[in-house]
Amino acid sequence: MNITPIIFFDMVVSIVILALGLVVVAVYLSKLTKTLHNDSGAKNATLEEARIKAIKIIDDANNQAVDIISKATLSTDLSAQNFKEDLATASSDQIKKFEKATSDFTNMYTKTLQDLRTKNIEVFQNISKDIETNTMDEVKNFKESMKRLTTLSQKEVKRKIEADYEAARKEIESYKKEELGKIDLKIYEFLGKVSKLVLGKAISLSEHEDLIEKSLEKAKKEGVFKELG
Amino acid sequence: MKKNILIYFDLITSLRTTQEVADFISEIDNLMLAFYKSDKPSLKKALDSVSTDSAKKIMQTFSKNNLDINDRDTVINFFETLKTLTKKFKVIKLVLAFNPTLKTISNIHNFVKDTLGIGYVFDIEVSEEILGGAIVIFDGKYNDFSLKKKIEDIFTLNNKEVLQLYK
Repeated sequence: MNITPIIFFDMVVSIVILALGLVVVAVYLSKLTKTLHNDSGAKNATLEEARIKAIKIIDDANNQAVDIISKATLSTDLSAQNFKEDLATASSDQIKKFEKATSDFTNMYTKTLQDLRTKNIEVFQNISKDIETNTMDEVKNFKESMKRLTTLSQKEVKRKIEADYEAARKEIESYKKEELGKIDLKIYEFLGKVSKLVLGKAISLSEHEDLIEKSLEKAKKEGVFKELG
Repeated sequence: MKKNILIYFDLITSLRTTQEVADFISEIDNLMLAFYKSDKPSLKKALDSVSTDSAKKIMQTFSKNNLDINDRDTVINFFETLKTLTKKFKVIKLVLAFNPTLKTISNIHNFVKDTLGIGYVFDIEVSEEILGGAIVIFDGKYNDFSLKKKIEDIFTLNNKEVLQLYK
């Protein structure tokens, strides 16, 4: 049986008040007995009887008081026992709840830390990826810029080389013509000298050409130009 | 474009020696390369890559035959055919006593054109020893019409007469 502390204390107060009431009644009866004993001898028998009754009443009252006190003590002990048990149960429950709460909190804390760690890792990974992407983009842009610049430079150099080449080619062409003209003049002189030396007379260029043409004509007549195939 | 060989007549007949043919083929190759590699093919621009003389002849041929210089296929076909024709030249090897002038070469070439027809070019070698005339080599046949050979023949045939003259 569970008795709340308030009821328990109410009962103790009631018992104490009742005990005090009995003590007051006992003192009053004692004083009354003394008074009656002094005032009237005749009434001794009655008084004696009254005294016996009073003693009996007092004894009964005492017994009842003792009984009530015993009951109250018993009840108090039971209440205390129950209180202790309730307290132990409540403490145990509270400890279990606290342990559970601690465990839950630890789990939650661990989970939160794990989530946080995972999120941080993700964030770092994303940051790494972002850095990588940005770096790659920058490198790509740099490469493209370099390529563009290189191509432009190449084109410019190529254009210049081509222009120089063209100028050089024209210069060579002009020089070649000039030199060929000089050689032609020298050849005429040379041919004259050689033919004079060998044949005793100079063979002119037209005579040389004539000789060549005659050679070709003869070759034709002899069927040189008829192909074998 | 119709493949009329007469279109190429002037260009073909202007080539007289194997050296000129080789130079011309090289010029066509350069021209084709310049024509192909330009973003917007232009014959006029590509002609900058060849000699002024060749460029002039090519432009004259296009103009004379009403060929469209802006038509890519026409231009490509023209040069492809021209290259094919230049490979069909018959080569006459001439050994001469002197290094002939361009004018002499032209004269001899014109003579061959009149005598044998078009499509012949000379491979000229100079050997002063032959004194005059020419050694003609064609299609593996060797014919010595040089002055030296004639003199040698005279000395061989008229040995006695020559010796008497010497005495």
